[in-house]
Amino acid sequence: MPRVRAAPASRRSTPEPRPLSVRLAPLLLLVAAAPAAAQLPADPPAHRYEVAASLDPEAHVLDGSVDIQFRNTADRPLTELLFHLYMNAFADDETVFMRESSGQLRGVGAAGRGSIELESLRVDGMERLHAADGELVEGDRTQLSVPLVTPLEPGETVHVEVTFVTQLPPLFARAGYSGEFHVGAQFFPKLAKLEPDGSWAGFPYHGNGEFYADFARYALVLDLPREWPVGATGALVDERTEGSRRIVRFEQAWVHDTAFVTAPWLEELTGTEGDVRIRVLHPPGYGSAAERHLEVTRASLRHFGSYLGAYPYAQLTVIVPPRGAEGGAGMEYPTLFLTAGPWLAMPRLPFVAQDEVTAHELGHQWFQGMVASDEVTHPMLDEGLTEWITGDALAALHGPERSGIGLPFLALDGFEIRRVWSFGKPGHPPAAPVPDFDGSGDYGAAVYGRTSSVMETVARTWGREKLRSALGHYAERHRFGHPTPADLYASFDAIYGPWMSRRVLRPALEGNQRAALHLANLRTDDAGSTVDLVRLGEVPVPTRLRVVRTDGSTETIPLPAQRFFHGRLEGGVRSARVDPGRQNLLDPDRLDDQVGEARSTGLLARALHFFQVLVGSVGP
Amino acid sequence: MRPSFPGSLRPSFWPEAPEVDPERTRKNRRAAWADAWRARPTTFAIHLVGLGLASWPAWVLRNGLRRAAGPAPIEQGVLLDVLRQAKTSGVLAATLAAFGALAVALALSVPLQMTWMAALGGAAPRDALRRGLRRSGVAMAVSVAVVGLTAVMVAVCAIPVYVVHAATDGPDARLHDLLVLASLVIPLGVSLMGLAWLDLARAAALRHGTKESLKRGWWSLRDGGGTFLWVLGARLALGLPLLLLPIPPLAAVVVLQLAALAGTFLRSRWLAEARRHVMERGVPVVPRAPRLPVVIPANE
Repeated sequence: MPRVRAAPASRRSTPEPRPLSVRLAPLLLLVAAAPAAAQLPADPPAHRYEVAASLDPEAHVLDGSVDIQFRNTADRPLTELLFHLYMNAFADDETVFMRESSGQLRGVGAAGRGSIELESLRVDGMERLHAADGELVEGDRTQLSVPLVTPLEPGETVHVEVTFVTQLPPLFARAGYSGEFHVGAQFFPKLAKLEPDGSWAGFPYHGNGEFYADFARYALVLDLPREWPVGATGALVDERTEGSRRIVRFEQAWVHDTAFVTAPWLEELTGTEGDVRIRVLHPPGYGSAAERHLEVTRASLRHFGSYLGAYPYAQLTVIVPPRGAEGGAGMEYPTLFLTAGPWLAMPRLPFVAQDEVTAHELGHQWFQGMVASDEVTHPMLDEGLTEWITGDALAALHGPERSGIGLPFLALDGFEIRRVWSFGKPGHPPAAPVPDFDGSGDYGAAVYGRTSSVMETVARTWGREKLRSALGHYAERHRFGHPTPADLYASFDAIYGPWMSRRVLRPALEGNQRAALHLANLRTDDAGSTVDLVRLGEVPVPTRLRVVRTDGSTETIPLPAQRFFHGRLEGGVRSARVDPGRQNLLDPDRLDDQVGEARSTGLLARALHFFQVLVGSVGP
Repeated sequence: MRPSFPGSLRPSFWPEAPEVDPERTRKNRRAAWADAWRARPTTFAIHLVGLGLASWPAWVLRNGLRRAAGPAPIEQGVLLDVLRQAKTSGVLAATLAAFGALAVALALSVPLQMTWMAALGGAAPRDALRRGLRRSGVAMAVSVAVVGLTAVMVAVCAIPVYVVHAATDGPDARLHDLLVLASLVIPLGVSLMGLAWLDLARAAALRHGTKESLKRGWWSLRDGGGTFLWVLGARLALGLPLLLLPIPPLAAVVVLQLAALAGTFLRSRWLAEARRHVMERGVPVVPRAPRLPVVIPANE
């Protein structure tokens, strides 16, 4: 991004953007600073899960049980329990997931079935499976409602014991197997999120949303082939061998899910960042890539921790999936994530895309992992915010200009890519719930692209440090909580003032409003020059105008955030360009931002030479 | 005889190649520079034909991008906007124009190359054109045969590539990919050899029939294969990397056109050498050894 001159102060309705150098300085300082160590809440969570499963690696079957101590944290009695049985999303073509996704996710198609069958379900020792309703949505068995014999009063705890058999599907949608590589996620019966009013926030398994649950203490006991390394949520607290099998126990408090990954050939690379022990499990041959993932993980832990609050768990596990397991790549679970990328990681040659997946999935440890919003109802609080902090981390790692593409001869700002992504097609606003979106393209453009573009526009216009303070306020205040967009807006208003959510965030995120700038006219006469600027959309973004005078000198003029601007400039003006620093990412078309002379870039000469080489390859 | 790749693959029905005289080969290479310099008017005319063909898609592309960009200079801040808006009109039209230019270049390549090589042999431009057009039929037949035979060889050589690629059971992805890359070397080498053979066989087609041209071209690979690779690499080195030079527009025109002209001249020097190599290759100077009678010793 080109540097811009500091503009003189002027009256305006919203604060003036600060120069880029000033905005980047605290960022660089924060990247270098190690975050203070954070701790988990002293109180134990209200709920406890003990999940035990034995893996049959040939049949890809998990035979297990789950023991749940669940306390009614709502303010009224409960008459039913609502479970998620998400492996049934892959049971047949009639499930909500299969109908929504047409049997594919992120371009990887279903190659087989998966399911979870319950063998028994006891509530306080009483079998209740026969009374359960397993098809809350027609054709979909990913939810199970179990009526209670006696209502569970507020503050009371119920003991639930379930035995189950899970058939893992071929890995195409997050969980399953690819050869010997097994991803055990959403494989056990799990209670939906209990809201304070006593309702269950349950939903079928969607391709673009699955997480929303209460924090609990999770223990995961796995019975695996003896030599198979495993990575799982939490820390390994017990391990023993029984013949050809190995029993491992992982525990973690204050998480809302547990998952594991195992394969016989996984290799391990370890490192630390502060008090956090990092394990990178990777296939053979991926050693150099694993080192890069570890490096990015450590840098991103520092970066995120510096303004979102330190990562509080003792352990973090990074899984590098093998080729063929792309369906499980790029997925986050508490204290564990699967990254992506080829084994090829050449030193000094940045592969931004590879780093991006690692930074993004690590970012989810905050937005969704600890700040556990409803991913289906408010995906922008989860994927949207994570996408912005990812871009922010990549800008710190590679420099803003190289944060999207960092090849030696081609550099591109990552947020420019997100901006174009967000305007790819007209669709729903980022604040829409997952079921409203018209497919993955609409969802991705709005939730990932538009949310991050809004945040980055705020960062570039009113200061990056201030935005990070607002996000830090939100993340700290709702750590181990379940916030809504109103909580996000409240944090922004606390930092910026009440105009921020009313004038910027709500119009941009809920109304899908833009801030398109259109430089309409530039006229020069004897009396001087006049320039007309039109802003389309409801997001008031102050900007700047850079003019090149006829004598070759340049001047940058701050412009207030108003809909029309008609200005008179002294002397002749050769050309003018609005938003020369490219701070406004809510402008879908930058091509009308300039009037006057265009610089020639030798395009014809280069195009001609390119085609000469091409024609020469088949010509005489 | 020096053992080498083409000779070692010689089937039993194929005549044995004549011996290579290293001194003669060196002499041909030196003389090729003089041939190329003498034929520079024809080379320049060939260059102009390529320039004319390339100017069509280049102009369409330039206009498409300019139209999409409007008055804004095409730089990083608007690059993605330009590409987004240009992809439906400017870039698509330029792609179609490029395919059209490639098709025309392909159709013209045989008569033009035959004319060029005739000029490199010392013929005056008008005679070269007449001779080139007259020999185009044979050159076309030679081209079809060389391309067909090369395609068969590449297909055979690609079998191990496919086998290695499909063998994904091995858990070490890096080793697997390196094996695939290594196994690609053979079909890639065969493809390059086929291209060199094509030039050499066309050079022979100036004077000989189809079968003789194929043979002479094949035998001459030993003399000229290395030069072909060198020229190919040099032309690419002169070409695409220069596109990225951050130089002013006028300098870009001068530098890039000089590079293109140098590339064409390098090509003419290789074609001159190819012509000299195939002229040297006559009937084998070493007669084939008579078969020895098979003697079955009597049982004692």
